[in-house]
Amino acid sequence: MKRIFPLLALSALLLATAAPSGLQMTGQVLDFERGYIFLTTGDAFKLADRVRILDAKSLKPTARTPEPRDFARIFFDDFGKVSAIELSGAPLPIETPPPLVEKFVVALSTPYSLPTPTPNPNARPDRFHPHFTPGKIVAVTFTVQVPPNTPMNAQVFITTDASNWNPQAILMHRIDALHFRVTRKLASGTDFRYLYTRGSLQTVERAENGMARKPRTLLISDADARAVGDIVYRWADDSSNGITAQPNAIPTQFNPAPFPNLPPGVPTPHP
Amino acid sequence: MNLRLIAAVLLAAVLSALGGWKPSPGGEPRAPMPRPFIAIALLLLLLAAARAGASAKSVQVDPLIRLSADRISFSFDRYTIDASGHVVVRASNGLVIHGQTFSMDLKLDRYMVAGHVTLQAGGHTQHGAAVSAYLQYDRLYVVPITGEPDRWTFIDNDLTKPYKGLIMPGDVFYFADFGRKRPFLTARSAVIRPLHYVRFEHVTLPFLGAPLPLPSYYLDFSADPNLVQNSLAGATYDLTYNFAGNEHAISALHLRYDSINKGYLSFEQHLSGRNGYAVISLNPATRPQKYWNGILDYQPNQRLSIRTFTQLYTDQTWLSSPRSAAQWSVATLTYALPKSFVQLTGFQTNYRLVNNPTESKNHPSYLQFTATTFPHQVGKLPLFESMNWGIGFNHDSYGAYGNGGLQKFGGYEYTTIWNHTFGFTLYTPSLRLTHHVPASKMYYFNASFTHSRQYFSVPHFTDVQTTSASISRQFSTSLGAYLNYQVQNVGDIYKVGGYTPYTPVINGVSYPSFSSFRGIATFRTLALGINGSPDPAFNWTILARVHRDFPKPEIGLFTFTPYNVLGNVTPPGQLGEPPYDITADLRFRVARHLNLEIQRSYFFHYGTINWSPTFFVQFTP
Repeated sequence: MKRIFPLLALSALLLATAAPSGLQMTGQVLDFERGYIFLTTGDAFKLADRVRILDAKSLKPTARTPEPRDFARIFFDDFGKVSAIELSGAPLPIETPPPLVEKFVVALSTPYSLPTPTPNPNARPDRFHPHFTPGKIVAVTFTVQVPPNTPMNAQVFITTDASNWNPQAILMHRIDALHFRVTRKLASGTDFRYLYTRGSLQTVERAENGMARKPRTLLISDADARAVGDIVYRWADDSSNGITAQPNAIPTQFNPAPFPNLPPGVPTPHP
Repeated sequence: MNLRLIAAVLLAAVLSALGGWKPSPGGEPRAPMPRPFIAIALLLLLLAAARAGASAKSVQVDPLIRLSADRISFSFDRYTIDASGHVVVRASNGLVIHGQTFSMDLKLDRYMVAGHVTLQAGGHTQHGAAVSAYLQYDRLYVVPITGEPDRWTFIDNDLTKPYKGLIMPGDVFYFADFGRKRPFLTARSAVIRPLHYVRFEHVTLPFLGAPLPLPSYYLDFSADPNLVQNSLAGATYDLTYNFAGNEHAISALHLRYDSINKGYLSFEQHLSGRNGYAVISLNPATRPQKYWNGILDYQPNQRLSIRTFTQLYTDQTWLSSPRSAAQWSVATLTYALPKSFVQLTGFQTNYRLVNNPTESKNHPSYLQFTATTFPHQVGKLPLFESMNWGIGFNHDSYGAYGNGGLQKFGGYEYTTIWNHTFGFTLYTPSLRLTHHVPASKMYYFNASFTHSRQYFSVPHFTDVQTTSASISRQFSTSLGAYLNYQVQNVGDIYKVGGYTPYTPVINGVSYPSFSSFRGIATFRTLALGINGSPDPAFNWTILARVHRDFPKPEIGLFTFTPYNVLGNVTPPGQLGEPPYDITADLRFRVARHLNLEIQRSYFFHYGTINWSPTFFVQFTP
């Protein structure tokens, strides 16, 4: 009996040290190797010698090892080591506030910051605006004044890099003889590049001096709403004299059929 | 450099076409060689395309990323690439990364590799749990595994100098959210040029419920609109397969359908550079009647631009010798001045390029010089004006009537006609008609007047005059309306002679309204438009119009006005519009990246025709 007692005491001590601390957390696995489990928060936790790996749904042991993208519920022992991991293919609800398990995170170098790095010349210059929170939905109203020679039956669209420059990406509504308008919900932080078209890239807007114009740019801030006013001075298919140089243009001096939709065979009037 | 070469090739092609197929004095074409010519032109264009890609290296900063893995997935919804199993990333700056999984958000210009990661660069190796590359800032954020895990930052790809403890973005190691949706495609490898394109290789694409294996699939997401310029004519349906490309070129096959050609294939090659772009297409490629189109736009500086469009028509079985062929080309040179710009436009058509007696011999040419001023405010008035002036030259030794000349008038056949033109535009900005009322009760007024007159060396002139006025009101942010009245006069006025009285008789029915036509047509349109957009994903429009045209739109006299692919009548000023019509247009989102537009018109008092011929239905991304 005297021999058994120390063994019982040692067993009780071992059981006590292996007992869970009661702390647990959930997260997505980044890596699992060399005695650590890494989460997408960038945190690493040391594994206990005999970590148990379970299926989160059945709570039965599994032969799988955690892999990147797995979702995991992690249990800590009193030493702050990971004693058990439940794996799931779907996100698990957040259970423990991260500050409570911060003490178990493997020690990191002291955090410090450097000045904002200079983006490389090929990058979009204002992608990360420092003064607003990205992701907020903002109602942006675009109003454009079109050239007076825009046909009354014309439709005006916005083409954007977000739609791979589909020339009919965003349909605008005519609000009077010279103006079109549309409201879109865009996430703040969106770096919006766009041009106005009449439905094709052959009818895209041109600069005031007749040259092809670079896409307009708009960075969506996190204001509740935003109004954008633009002017289109001319379209790419404009002709300076109002007559398009093409067969069947009406009327031209060498066009025998000034009104092209007369029925076939009907002698068309011409001088 | 690349586009200069392309310009030279296209110019040579056009000159060859004009020179090689210029009809001889006897009226017969010289020995035509269209097939070798086409083959040589295509070869040169492909060389130009290759050169365009090669010359692009000098302006690249972001590294080219070559990704291979057991499985690569792409999601169109989120523009994310995910890869898993034996991931290898090889960047053109010498960085090689091995890992278990890869995740990239193409719009955010960053990627991550996680799971048993090994980085190699400049002869150094670093092991870690994950690495996140922020390409915009040339930074690598790494969770290294040395003695214990830490967080290190490498700058400028230098693995010898870790910045330990440098603060990282909060979501630096987050996977892009791929969700549970099925991927758009899967592949075994990919080439990624950040902010420009991705080209997948060994692709499997779900198509009509079955996996479709493809050798490659190219996807452009660059900020360059010129790379997607197109030169294809409209089609009812178009399924595009970009099978090759880089940041300056795309090669695409189009599976198309239209009511005339039915199903067919087309090919299109896009090229884009810093100073311009070129597009070459063959459409339809699998039908005898083919159109070979080429667009070249070259802007060497901020003041000068050159744009050409050339269309070659051939009637041939595959690439055999054409039975008939025609070509037209238009080139516009634009030069910007401080408050105006000038344009020189040349237009040339050859209706018979091969010896086919049934084809017209016409080959009219046209050269027009115009100067256009910028819009300019008239004093302090709420009125803007702009003007244009031009001089032009037209020539055709064969003529539209088949027996010589551009026009027969007064017993003389004109083979050359000079013209000069003058035009101006006056317009008002939006003028408030009501004051001191809420915005929803505000009325606005707009008016514009455009006049263009063109005199010819044949004693006549043409007038195009358009007057428009509108009143509009925005009832709320989602509901607006306008009332517009427009009058357009199109006239062809002869000092002597000109249009003679004429009464068409069709199937025994005479149409006397045409008898008083003397060369001036008038189009009057009163339009009421109401627009609703209760949600950005749901829009509707109702447009009611009254037309009062001269000559009167007699039912049965005019063919039905053609509609373009957007459901609009084109060109404007077509005779024969019904006196009353109402059009409803509904556009709404049916999927995250797919909109559906449905449109149809109803005609009042237009004989037995009550509805427009078909519903206009269009899906847009």
